[in-house]
Amino acid sequence: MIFPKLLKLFFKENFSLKRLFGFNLKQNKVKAGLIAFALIYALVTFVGMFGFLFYDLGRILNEMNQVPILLGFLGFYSIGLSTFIVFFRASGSLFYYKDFEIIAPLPIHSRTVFIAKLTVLMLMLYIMSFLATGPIVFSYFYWNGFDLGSFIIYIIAMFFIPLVPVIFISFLSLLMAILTSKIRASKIINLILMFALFLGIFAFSFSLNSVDSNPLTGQIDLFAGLRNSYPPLGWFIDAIAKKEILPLIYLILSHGALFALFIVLVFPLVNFTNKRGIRSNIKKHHKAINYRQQHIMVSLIKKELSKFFNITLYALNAGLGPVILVIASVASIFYKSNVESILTDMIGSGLDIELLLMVFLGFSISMTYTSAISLSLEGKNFWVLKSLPIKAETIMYAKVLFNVLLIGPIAVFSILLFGYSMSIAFVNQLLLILLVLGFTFAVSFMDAVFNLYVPKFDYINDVEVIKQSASALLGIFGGFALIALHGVFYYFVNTYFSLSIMLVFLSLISILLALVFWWVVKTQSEKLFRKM
Amino acid sequence: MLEIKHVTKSYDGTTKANDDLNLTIEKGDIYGFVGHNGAGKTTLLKSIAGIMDFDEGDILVDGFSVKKAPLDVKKRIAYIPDNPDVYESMTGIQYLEFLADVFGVDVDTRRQLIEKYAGMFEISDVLQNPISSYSHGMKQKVVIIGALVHKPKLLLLDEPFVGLDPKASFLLKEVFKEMCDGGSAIFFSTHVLEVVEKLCNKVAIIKEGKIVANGETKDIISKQSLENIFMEIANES
Repeated sequence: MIFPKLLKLFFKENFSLKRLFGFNLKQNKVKAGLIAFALIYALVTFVGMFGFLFYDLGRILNEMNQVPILLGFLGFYSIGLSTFIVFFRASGSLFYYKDFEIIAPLPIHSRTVFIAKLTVLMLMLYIMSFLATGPIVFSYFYWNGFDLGSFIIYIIAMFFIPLVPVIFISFLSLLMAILTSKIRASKIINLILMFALFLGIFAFSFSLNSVDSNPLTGQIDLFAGLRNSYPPLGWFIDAIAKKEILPLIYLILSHGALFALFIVLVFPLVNFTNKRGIRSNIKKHHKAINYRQQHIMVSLIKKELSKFFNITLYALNAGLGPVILVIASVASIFYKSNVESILTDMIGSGLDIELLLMVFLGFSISMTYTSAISLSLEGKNFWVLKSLPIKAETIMYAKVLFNVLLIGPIAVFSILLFGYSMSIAFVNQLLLILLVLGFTFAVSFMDAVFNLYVPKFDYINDVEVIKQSASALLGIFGGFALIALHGVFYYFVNTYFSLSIMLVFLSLISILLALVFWWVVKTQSEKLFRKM
Repeated sequence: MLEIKHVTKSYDGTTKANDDLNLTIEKGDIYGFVGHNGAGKTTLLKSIAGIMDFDEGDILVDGFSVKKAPLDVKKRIAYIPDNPDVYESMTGIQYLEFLADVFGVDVDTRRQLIEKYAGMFEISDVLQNPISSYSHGMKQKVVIIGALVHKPKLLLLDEPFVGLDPKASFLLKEVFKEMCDGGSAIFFSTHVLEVVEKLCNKVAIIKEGKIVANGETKDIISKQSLENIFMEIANES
């Protein structure tokens, strides 16, 4: 039977530890340990935060004798998560197989391949869905009392509740893939959507952290009413809460039948889209080219810029700092007290606004770490730079300067806005600008040093460099270490000097660090390039 | 133009990818470089281009040492790898302008050369499209144009004809001849022995890191075809 073999292959392609983390865990024990720690931390945080919120919600609902409303949350979150996964994965998993050119010539029926691909997608969806909604299920059975019959119905119903939305979202995913391939600025649009999503999640987590009462209580009426607007959710709730078989049969038959129909009907479309491939809307240009000679540094920085916006993941990760700064500083004009309280929540109370800003700006600058990964991202293209008559240090300066230009001007702009909204003395605004510029250069040069010493050119997916490489981690955490260094200095010295004088001292530390890292780049780049 | 003196390179400290190589290439030479897979052709080409460091010996281009004056060497050469991995985030014209900026080619010269070669290789219409949208052959053509945009004195190519259509291959050979007539030199590796026989005035054969035959093509193939010579050498233990 070829199906189990295909399933195993596709499953491994999607979920193997090497695929997920970008390296062999057995061969990288230190990295494996760090990742295990990060995973445990993430799991404990997730279970702790959501577990407590739903436990608390269950308690409130129990007092109202309304515990089954938790099942509305369960069904809705399961559908929401499934649609989210399918929206991002369906076009690549079903309609445009990445390995189509390898699989298609093999003597395997295309229906078998399709079913295997769909199975892997559904497996991913179910695993995520069961894991993410675990705290809700726990709360429900804790407050309602555990019952094996209800639990079995819950398991069965969870397999069927997302199926109909999955059908619609699959087509939406296909439509989006086709539309974005026709738009030249699709990468930018994609980037904006991803930033919006990310900031939405960011804002949601803040809303969970910053209020005293349980934020989920505000959603009780919504979820109580949803069952009337979407009948399958009512069947889902009734089947589990009342152990009724009829609603479960409605759910299984309606969703199962529609999904079976979807499999039969979508197969020819999957065959068609995979054979046709996605076609970009590339036109021939007949307009005259406007040739322009530019300084080599300008050319190198423009090259960095085009790569930055061309790799969505790169812009999304290394470009988060400037976006957060712009949003926070503009927001400070209109919501001064809210921004101030968020900064206090994040950093600590009892500090001058200048210091709060200094730490906030420091984190934003540290998260802008293009110079820690841009050399690695040359990857297979590195031969171009190495064969050209450009000094290695010039290449590195361009990478550093790109990072400085990405965050520096926005940081200065944000200081001016914060200065206006928070009524910071003009002299202190100027000193903060000096400090921030010095810190930006220090972090950018430090990141470049990390990338020079621990580059990673041999990679399959950009994510291995952007999120998982040693220099990326060193870049981000190195920035945090520099903030800590400034903090330690401030802690021991601030009692002797005024805030303005302290800002001058801290600026000098940043400038000194920038000079040290610049010296390393200047003297070591050529030598290290030759070894690469 | 190019002097390779006792060049030795080892990746692992034991096996030598290049073993005491010596070769001289004069102005106007079209020098073919043949050898089996893994013989050390790419290693030598990358060493000349300054992409890879070598352990012993020296390489001089126009009198400049790759080790001591790498920038002077790189200003005089152009390298075309076997796989056209170029910046896919750029458009074709952005890539060519980038290279022209690096070599300080003035606007009039770059316009003249880019229009000439883009027209010749029939990619003028797509130069303003992203390289990511190009086929393998189109990428290779952009890399070739990029190599020609600063009129190099020495052109190094690794398997340049792989992936090119017959017309583009013919045109590339014409470009080689034109460049050599202008005083440049060409040094390229290939597995297509017929190309070497017909195009190259000199040839070197490398086996397991050592040059085992080297000289005028007409002398080497005077008694038997290059294919037979290559097979004989390959079969020698």
